[in-house]
Amino acid sequence: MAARYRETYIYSFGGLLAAAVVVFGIYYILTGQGERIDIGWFLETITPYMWATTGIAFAVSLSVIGAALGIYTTGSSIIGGGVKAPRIKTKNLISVIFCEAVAIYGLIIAIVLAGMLDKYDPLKASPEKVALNYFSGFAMFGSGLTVGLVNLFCGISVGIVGSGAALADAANPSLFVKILIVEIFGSAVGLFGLIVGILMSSRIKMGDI
Amino acid sequence: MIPLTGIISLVVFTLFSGVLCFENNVPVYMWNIDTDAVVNPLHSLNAEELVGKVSLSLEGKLVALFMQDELSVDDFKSNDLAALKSLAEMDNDGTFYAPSVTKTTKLPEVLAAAGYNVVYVKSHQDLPTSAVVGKTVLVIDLPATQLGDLRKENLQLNSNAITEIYETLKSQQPDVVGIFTAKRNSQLQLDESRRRIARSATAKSAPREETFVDKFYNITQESGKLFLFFEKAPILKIKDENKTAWANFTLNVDPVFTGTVVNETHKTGVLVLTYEALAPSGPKNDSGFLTKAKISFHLSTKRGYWYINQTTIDFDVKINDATFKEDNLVLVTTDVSTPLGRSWHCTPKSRLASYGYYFNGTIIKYTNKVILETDGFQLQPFKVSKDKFGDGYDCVGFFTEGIWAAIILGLIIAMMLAWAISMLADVRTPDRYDDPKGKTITITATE
Repeated sequence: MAARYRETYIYSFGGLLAAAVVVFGIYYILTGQGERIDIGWFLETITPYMWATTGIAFAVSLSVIGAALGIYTTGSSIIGGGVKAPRIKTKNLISVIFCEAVAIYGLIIAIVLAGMLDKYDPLKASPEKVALNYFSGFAMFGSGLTVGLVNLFCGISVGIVGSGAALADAANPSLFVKILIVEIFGSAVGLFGLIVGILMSSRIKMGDI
Repeated sequence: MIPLTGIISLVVFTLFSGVLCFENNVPVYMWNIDTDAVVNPLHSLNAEELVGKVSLSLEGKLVALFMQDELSVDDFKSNDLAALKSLAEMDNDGTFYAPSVTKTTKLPEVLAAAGYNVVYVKSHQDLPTSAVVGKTVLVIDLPATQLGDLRKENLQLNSNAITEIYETLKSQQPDVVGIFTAKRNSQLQLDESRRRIARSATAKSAPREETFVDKFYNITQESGKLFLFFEKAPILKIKDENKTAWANFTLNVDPVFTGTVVNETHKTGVLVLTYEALAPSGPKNDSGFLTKAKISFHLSTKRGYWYINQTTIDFDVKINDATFKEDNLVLVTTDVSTPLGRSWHCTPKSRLASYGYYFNGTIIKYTNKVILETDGFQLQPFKVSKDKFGDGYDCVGFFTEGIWAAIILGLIIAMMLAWAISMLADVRTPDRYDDPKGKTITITATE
């Protein structure tokens, strides 16, 4: 019953989307304006602020989703294992801290990018200025998306490893330190995303001046 | 069963009463009439019944029947018929009022059948200048009234007219009975909805904006054909570089088309519009005169599309005592690229062509000295079918870029919602210790 519930919702949502796309696509084709569906025109005319703000949103929201999923996984294992082996409680909090760090990376990038947002007047700006602003918009989008997605998967993986570490520690205390190394590698991945995001955002120059 | 009969009876009742409503019920007011007749206000009287009730009292008197086009009981309540009210309250024999009489248009005929001589009074000259002998009815048509705010004034004017005419008649003979009624009820609309009449009444007082010119030009030549349409007149804005004010010339005269407009074989064309002798419109401090303006649109075709390549303008204007003359000034045209066989259409006010800005190193300077602005514009050169514009290729698409952005972001949020709903499906209650056949777990509460 539960499986059918989920599938019904997803299929109906997808079906609605597909129907909308088909209807509008056929409208465009049959009225002879097929070439009006123009991705190039869209990319050229859309305001760069859409890209920039979406990037900032992705940076923080996807990172937090990753961190939350990680803490959910590892936290429930620590609490469950701590019933019979209370000694694991304090030591295994480090897994939760690794997950939290992922969220902090996302927050840092989002604040840095948001600080670079600035307005410009498209009518008065020279073509070079306009191009620079568009580049900044795309760069912010790329940077935010990079950091967000990397932190999402990093958080999930650290969470699962941390959960395994807690349960292994509850069974045999000597295993914990070795498993921590696996977790450190998982966390390093999140750092890579942060570095690339910072690199991309270093060239951003939005605004009139 | 019961609801069905209820519905049927309701329908029948509304139809029946609707049929009754289709009868025009108009109030009738008589003064200087000595009658004891009473009317049951819940019933509608027929014109014949009405005359039958009062005919004895009308014997030997001149009847002045004032017919308005529309009247209702509400008009008597308002103070607009004050002149009539004071007239009726003057020294006279009595009054009579029937709030709802049908077929009042037949009153003259009914009175004629009762032996009256019906005289239609069209203007002041038709009024009798001396006492009238014999049973006569003077039918006086009052000026038309309107619905809405203007009705008050109309009613006041009409009641003043009634007073004036009645007193003229009364000065000639003392026994004049006045009857005030109308052909239709002002509150009941039979043919058209009241809303539509009210709207058309206001529309007459506020005609379609004068700025709409709706000029269609069909230029048919041997070499080709071109259709051009202006919804509102295009505006040519010219500015003196040193000043900040623009002189706006509304090109609301018909231009002269010169030269070969469209050449289908060579797939080129030049649309030349020549305007002459225009005074500017715009703020009061604009003083200027456009002696001549010649706008040329260079048209071409390439790979299934037609374009306006270039716009050039020659003009000769005088603004604020300074004369400006430009020859072959090249303007920057908006990107008009349309598939062949279709027309370029633009409803919102937009710049069709303007003299561009230039960027000088670090200083950005605007020298917009000429702007050609259109407000409702449609053009089709090349492959024009017999008598109609081809499908309009709009300057504003169906999905604008803002709409696309909103759709994309909306889809992202919708996906979040979809994921959330799918997570709800994983909510499970703890059921490890459920045993339908076993004893119910009870917990004794200790005090």
